[in-house]
Amino acid sequence: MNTIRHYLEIYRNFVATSTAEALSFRLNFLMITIVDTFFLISTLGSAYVLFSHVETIGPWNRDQLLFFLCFMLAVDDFQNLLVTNNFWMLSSDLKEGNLDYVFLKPVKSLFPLFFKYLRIASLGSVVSTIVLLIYFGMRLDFEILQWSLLPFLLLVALTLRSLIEMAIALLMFWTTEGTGINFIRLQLQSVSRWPDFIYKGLAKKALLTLVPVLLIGSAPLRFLFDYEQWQMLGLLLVLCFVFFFIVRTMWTGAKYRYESASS
Amino acid sequence: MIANLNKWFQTMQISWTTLMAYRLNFALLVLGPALVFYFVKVSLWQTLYIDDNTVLQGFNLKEMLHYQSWSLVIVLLAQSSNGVNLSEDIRLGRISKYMVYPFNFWEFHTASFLSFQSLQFAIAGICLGLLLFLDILVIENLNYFFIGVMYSLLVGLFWFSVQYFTGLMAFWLDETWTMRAVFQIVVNFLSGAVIPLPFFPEWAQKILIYTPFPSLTYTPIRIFMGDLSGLGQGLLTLFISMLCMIAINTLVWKKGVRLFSAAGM
Repeated sequence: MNTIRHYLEIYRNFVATSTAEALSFRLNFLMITIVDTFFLISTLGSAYVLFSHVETIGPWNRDQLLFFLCFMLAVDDFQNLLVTNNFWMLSSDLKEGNLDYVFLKPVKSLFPLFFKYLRIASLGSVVSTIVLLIYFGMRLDFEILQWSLLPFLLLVALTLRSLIEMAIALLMFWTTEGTGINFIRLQLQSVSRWPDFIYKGLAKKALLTLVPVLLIGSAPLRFLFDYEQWQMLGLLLVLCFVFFFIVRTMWTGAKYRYESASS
Repeated sequence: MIANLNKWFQTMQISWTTLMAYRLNFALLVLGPALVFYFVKVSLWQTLYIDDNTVLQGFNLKEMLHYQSWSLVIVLLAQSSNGVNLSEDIRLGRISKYMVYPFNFWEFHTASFLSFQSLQFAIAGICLGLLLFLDILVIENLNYFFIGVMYSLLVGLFWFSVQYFTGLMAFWLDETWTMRAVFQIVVNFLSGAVIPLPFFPEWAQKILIYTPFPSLTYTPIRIFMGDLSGLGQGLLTLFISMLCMIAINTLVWKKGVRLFSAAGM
């Protein structure tokens, strides 16, 4: 219990520091909000343009696809708020030897490595996508059970996305330059922003199992739209545990691989 | 004159060496996004077309796949450069050296862009060769193809002038990636890179004609596909936009450099 309280206290300080930093650079704060808004408009705008020419995309109608897109945007926004900045900082911290201080602190090193920096500017975007998610959920006439499942499904989707990206980010310990690794993350995100049924063949199989980014949005929503389609959600939950152990194992290897750039 | 040309060439050579020092990183930064973007678009359009006979806004599936493949070639040829190094030079105070070097800031970065562009040209050529070999693309008319390549290189220059502008904003902004991201998102959506312009509502098409966006992707794709009708307007738009960007960049540099304080000088 004391350990949890200790970590919560540290996290409270992370939040306070990130908030103070975000409010010191107000123009950056505004620019990030603008980026998020443009991304939201272009994503939903593309779907509206496409649906003015077709009735369905795969088995889904317009409201179902828009709900899916909002779900994925919500996952993006929560991840941007809580984790993403740490992946970018890891790249520079590795080169500049700043990780020495992370290793010296009396906490599990993975905690400050992936949760230290928050992107507070994404808070506005989180709120707007949640509002849109509720709006499209209402258009789909969701029942109480569907509404109550939604936060849990959002949480497991966010967990799998974050664990996959943590595993990818840890590859930076084996490469000299980390920017390219961060671009792999971004590309996998853009693949996962469309439902699994648009992909076919070997690529689809790989994206559902080896690097299971297609499960992040498709598994929860297939289950939410039709409870009989629970198999993919089951796979997602199993893979959350698998990737948790992959991250832990990689972290052990990464620590041995680390060479301080500052000492 | 020859001495100055030599400086340009030497800078290009240094830039080639720097870019090739981290080859995996270069491939992940340049080739990765374009190929993944293409993969997602092709998958999406193949789902939208229920069968080979479906025609949407004048495009059948084969024509749409041609359209998306030409879009990939244009992205590789013209839309890959960014102003990251430029903004880092400003943010980290490295521009002090350009004040004393007999080679200007803009000359250095334009030479670096040209070396990057030459690598991009080779990568786009390899990708095009593969698409032709796999029978995914066909060159309808060799003359139109060369016009398309020249036009795309001009788009590349305009793209560089915009990236140069976003880089210069480092005089005021701590992070300039936000400006690059906004520009990229808007271009991807409004230039016809994902959805061809005839799919947009009529009111939106009427507005877009008066913006530079269609000239960046839709017009060169039409040229490659054998339709020169937009060439004149596209060239005019690009020239006017480029002149505006040169004027803006000159002004921004003059204003920005006054704010710059060189540490340790």
